[in-house]
Amino acid sequence: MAAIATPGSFSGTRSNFRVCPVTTFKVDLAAERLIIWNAVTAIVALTLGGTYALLIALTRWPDIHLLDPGWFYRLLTGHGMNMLVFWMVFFEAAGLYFGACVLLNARLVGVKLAWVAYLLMLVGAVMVNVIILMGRADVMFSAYPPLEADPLFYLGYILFAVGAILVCCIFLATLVMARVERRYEGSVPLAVFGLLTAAIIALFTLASGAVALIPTLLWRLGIGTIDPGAYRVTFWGFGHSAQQVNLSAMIAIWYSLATLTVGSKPVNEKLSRFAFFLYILFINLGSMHHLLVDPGLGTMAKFFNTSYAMYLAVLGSLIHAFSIPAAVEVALRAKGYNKGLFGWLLNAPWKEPGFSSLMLSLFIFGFLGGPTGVVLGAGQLNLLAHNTWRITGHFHATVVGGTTLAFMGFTYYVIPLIFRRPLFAKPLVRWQPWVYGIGMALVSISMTWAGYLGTPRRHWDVTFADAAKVGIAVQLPSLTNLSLTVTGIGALLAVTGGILYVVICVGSLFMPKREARALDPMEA
Amino acid sequence: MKKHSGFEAPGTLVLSFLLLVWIGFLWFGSWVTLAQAWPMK
Repeated sequence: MAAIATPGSFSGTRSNFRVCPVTTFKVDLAAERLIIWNAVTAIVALTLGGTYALLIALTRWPDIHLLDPGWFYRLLTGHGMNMLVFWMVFFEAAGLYFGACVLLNARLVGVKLAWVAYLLMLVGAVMVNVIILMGRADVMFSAYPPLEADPLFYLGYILFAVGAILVCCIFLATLVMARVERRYEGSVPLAVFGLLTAAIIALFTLASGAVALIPTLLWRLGIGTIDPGAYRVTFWGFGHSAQQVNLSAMIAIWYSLATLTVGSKPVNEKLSRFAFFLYILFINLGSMHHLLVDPGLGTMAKFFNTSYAMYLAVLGSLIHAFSIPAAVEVALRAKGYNKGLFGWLLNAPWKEPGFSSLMLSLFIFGFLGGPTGVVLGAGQLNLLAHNTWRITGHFHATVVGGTTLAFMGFTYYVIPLIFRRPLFAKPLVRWQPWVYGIGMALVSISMTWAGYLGTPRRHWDVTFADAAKVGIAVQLPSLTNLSLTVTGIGALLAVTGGILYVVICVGSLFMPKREARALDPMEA
Repeated sequence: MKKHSGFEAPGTLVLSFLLLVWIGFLWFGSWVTLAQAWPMK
């Protein structure tokens, strides 16, 4: 497909576009290259984080208990950083460029700056990974002072965050320019609106991260002191809010996948936009989950954040939780699947990987991730669950079974349409979302159950077997061992699904380049 | 853009009701556990 040159409005710049023969979108080739590089880097981070996940899971499995304590905490730190930050944010950078340029037929503003942002993020991610593997940052994801990491760890973190801030600014500038150049009429599409929500939340998330990490870096360099209480508050303004960025991006992708897979349209688009708006105002207060047992914060702060504010954010999620499956149902009923209450669901295209990813992600997030978060967000109940595996079970259902699975499903559309290569090993593609989704659901349910029984999170010796050596007998409920074992089995299944995903993506990169032939990735 | 009524998706309405029941189960179940555990030992 020949590229076409389109005059830009400013500085005499010219952008090269190609027209996608399937979607008829005009794709800015400069944005396309950035989407590809960010997406590939995201998958490398996922591979690293997934490898660490396997080793951690085999250590948490009491009958295997693979790693020694040093390597356990080292890889737990690396697992958190790669999965919660690098995989997600690189993929979201690709998503922001996709939303702003491809969905709006617009040119990317500040291409050179976008490459600077990519390099900053890459250098930051490499620095953090190297320092962790060298054993100089066994501080876990939250890196609470007075735990000390090498200053280069914080510097890498900060460089990555600066790159991510640039990505958000470029996304916003591209939206403005698309408006100025009349690339679209009326409001931006709902998916782009969701990505805009993610970018807005990301900006104050990253600002909070800077407030936490820059003084910590200076403290490690011997300049000034650090207040651990203040660090915890500002860090979770970053650490949990970053997951709200993932949430908004995931929901934007849910709406996109519903449209791509069954041709659905939002049941009530204004209501869906309002739900995103509720996120901007209220959802970041979910950060308070981490601070409900923190002695440094007053009762009123905890009361406000865990009552009114949290329920308004949850209202947004409940609106999406109804709107998306309802849109799918309306679309499938329009195609004639009208039998009974659930005939549409039984006849849905479950073999289509985008659809199975969407529905499994919706189910895991909707029935496991979201509701457990609501319960954990209540101060009194948090007293029971804080620092137990219930917390870990909750966020493995949100950010992994929910967000990562949705991102995986979306990848199967990005590869034919943006990478312009057919999917590799298509029979495996059909199975991948199921293997990964069922594995993660098992992990999440069993972690939650183990946490309910009192299993601590972030602990090398979860059964306290070593306590007996110093004369302390710890008797955990007999079901604990069963739930920990189920977690191990679920993790093996999920890691298998993760390996399938990486094999499909890497294999597809070596498939002969050609234009997509159909929207369905299995036929493209 | 055509607006749809939620009643055009009766299956989703039923699923949403089940979701609310499930959230209620988790919520009140946790409160019961808290009541049993109180006072903390």
